[in-house]
Amino acid sequence: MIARNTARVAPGVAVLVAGAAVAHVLSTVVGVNRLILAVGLGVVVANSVGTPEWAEDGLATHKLWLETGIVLMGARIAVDQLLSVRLSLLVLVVGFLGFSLLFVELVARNVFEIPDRLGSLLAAGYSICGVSAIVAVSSGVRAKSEQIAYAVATILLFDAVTLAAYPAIGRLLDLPDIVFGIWAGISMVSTGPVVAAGFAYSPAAGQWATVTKLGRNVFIGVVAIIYAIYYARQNGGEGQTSVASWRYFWDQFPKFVLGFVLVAGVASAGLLSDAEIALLERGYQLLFLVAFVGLGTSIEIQGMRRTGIKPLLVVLSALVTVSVLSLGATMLVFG
Amino acid sequence: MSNEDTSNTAVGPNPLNLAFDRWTALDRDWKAVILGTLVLSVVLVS
Repeated sequence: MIARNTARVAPGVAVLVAGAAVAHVLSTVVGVNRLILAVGLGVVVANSVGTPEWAEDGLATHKLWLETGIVLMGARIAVDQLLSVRLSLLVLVVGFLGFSLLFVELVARNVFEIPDRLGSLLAAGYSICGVSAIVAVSSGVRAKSEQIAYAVATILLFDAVTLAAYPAIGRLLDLPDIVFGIWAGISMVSTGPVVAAGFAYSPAAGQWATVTKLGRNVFIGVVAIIYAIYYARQNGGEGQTSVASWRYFWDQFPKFVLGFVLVAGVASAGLLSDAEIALLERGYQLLFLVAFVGLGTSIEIQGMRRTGIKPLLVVLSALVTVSVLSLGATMLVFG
Repeated sequence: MSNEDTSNTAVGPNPLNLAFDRWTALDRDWKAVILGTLVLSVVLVS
């Protein structure tokens, strides 16, 4: 049993590790950030020769390595610095999360007149954490499977575009690490690309980007409940009581954040020496590199063509608006 | 008695398999927490 399951996952994991090694070596040759190269390598392989069936189960583990890396990254977080800016950061995260949700809902319904349920999937996907948020709210929204597919394809497209564009814009504007990290954490879409773009900019920017993004992610439960209640009311109250519960909230909650908080707590309590923190840092950098090869293989350019022009324009308008406003606000507060 | 009672020699489920089944059924988020905590523990102990 164990041997069979290990044999199922091992080849794909070996591909991820080999890809990470290639990205590492290539980065020393061509002088491009190894995280970006890892994602690029995955994209090139998946969209040229394709990913073989024997590797798929192992490649799908990339999110586990990303989340484990984020848990370990807790050791590097400057908790004192984080606590000193907690209120401003929280206001920015919550403010822009609410603004993004409302913006996408309003633009989707009133400007582009796309179906309410598709608009809600895009709003949750863009505002919180991409595909995970779409999946989390889809049952409450009672979306059709093709609407979920549209929303997922749209969000993945913007993940790819922002991952390439954000570090370039950050360098062009010569943004301080903290500003770039918080800006990426507030206005980019899914967790993987936010972490990749942040660390591609600088280690400090990566840490700020991840913390800010985790701040957004924890609201997924609240947003899923709000949508479920809203759509239950629209359907005459059916299922309304079953969704407004702690259980529903807990089911949606990203539990790996608890691991991140635990490790950050251990590190800030002074239980780890500098050498141990450095060891954990090497550990999460390695895990990120492996995870980003897998993230690249999950970006299917052909699949993105499935998205319609209207959902694309809805998210584009939200991205441009939120990106500009949040950059201004972040520079004002942290610049 | 040609047919011996072998019930008391029956092998129970392998604990390793049971543990692996539970691991496989775990939510990905919890797996990340466990793996991260394991690595942290190893670093702390060593």
